[in-house]
Amino acid sequence: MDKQLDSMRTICIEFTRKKIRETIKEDTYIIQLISHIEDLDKIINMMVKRLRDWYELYLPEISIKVPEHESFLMEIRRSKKELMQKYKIKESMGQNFSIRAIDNLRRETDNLYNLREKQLDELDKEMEKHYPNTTMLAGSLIGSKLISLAGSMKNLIEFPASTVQILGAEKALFRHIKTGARPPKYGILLSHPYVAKARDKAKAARKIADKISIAAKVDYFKGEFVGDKLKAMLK
Amino acid sequence: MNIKQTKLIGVFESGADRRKKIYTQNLVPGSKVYDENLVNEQGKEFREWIPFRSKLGSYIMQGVQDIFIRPQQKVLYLGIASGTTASHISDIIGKGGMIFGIDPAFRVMMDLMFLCEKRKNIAPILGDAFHPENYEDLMPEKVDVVFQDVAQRNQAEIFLKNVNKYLKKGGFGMIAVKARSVDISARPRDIFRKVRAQLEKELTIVDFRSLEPFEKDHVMIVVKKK
Repeated sequence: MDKQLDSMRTICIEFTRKKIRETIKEDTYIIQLISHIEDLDKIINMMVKRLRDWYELYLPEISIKVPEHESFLMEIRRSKKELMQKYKIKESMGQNFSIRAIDNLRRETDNLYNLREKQLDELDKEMEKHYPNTTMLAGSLIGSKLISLAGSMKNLIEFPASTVQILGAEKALFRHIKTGARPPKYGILLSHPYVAKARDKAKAARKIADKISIAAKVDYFKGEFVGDKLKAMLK
Repeated sequence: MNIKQTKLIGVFESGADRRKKIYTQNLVPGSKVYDENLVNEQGKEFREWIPFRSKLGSYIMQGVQDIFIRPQQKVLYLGIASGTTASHISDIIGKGGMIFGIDPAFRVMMDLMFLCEKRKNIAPILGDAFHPENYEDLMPEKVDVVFQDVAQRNQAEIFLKNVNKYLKKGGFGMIAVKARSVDISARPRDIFRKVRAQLEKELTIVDFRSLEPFEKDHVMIVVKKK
């Protein structure tokens, strides 16, 4: 009896090992990638904030004049003298101290921006390769975020379009179910340019969610390319 | 510290009331499963059972008379996850028993596979408990105990399916019901009543117990197959 159980266990382990390997597919890879990019965004934001705070002790005038992070990083490569000339600053409030530590931070932040760029390219490639229709409609960033919120592509295609519309607004949705507050109109899709630009955002979100839902199903079952047709319907 | 045997086979305790702690005897001495404490006493090694991390542990802390799991038994565990609770069951059933652990998530299954290397009485199965026929080739025909902790909307239905298929006659089933994943808008008490009624149709209810204060809005229901 004992031996029988033992051999059963061995079979279970073999089976599960194989099945785990089969379960790890391209969308698990994509989910890792997009989560990594989201992490990078947070880290970069934190580092730039610190960099600005620090650099403002040295030359505060620049930080206010260059609100955009990446151009700020480019600007502060120059020396203090050059910058004062360029921005016509006669006298700075900042203190003159060694900039070496600030410069180290700047360099590493720059590297992180490069890393993000590279990973974004990789994401574009992966999404384009496996889910061309979804990428055409949603873009690689939002498309992969939808997959990550759903858990997998299989889950995403099993959702109705109305669920795709409010993915990323779970908090508002549960508040609606619990207290009867007004339901959310869009979740992550708000950052989609089609929704962001539209005047009637709810309607736009519903329409784009509809088309993304169709595109995802086509992608999952390896259908032919219909992304352009679906996109034309939105106009 | 003074660790003594409780009424429950394989479960040990120390302290009383608020300072009460429960333990199982470590099947694999020297190894931890999660961040529990290991205590050496009387030449034996005990693993502390943290009730906040395990629903079966919090059930025992309610002062129950029986946990329905005995040494040498076969247990079907639905929603085994990374094996926190399962490791204690594995301590209790000992070397002659076997836990068949079902979970659909591959991520936690990976952790469990590493646990299985150390504990020879856990058999991992990656699968969906909603379709018990999918793993019938991997399981014995009948098991002695079915334990479920899945936090799904239709968890009672999943439980009944598995109990009907795998539990032997007169065997016990334990189900940890999480009200908030069954329906977040309804009152927990109503949900529990509904689940109980659903189970009562086919099975005999042996115990019905809230898991407060360790788990909020949870109950453990123990049933016996007719």
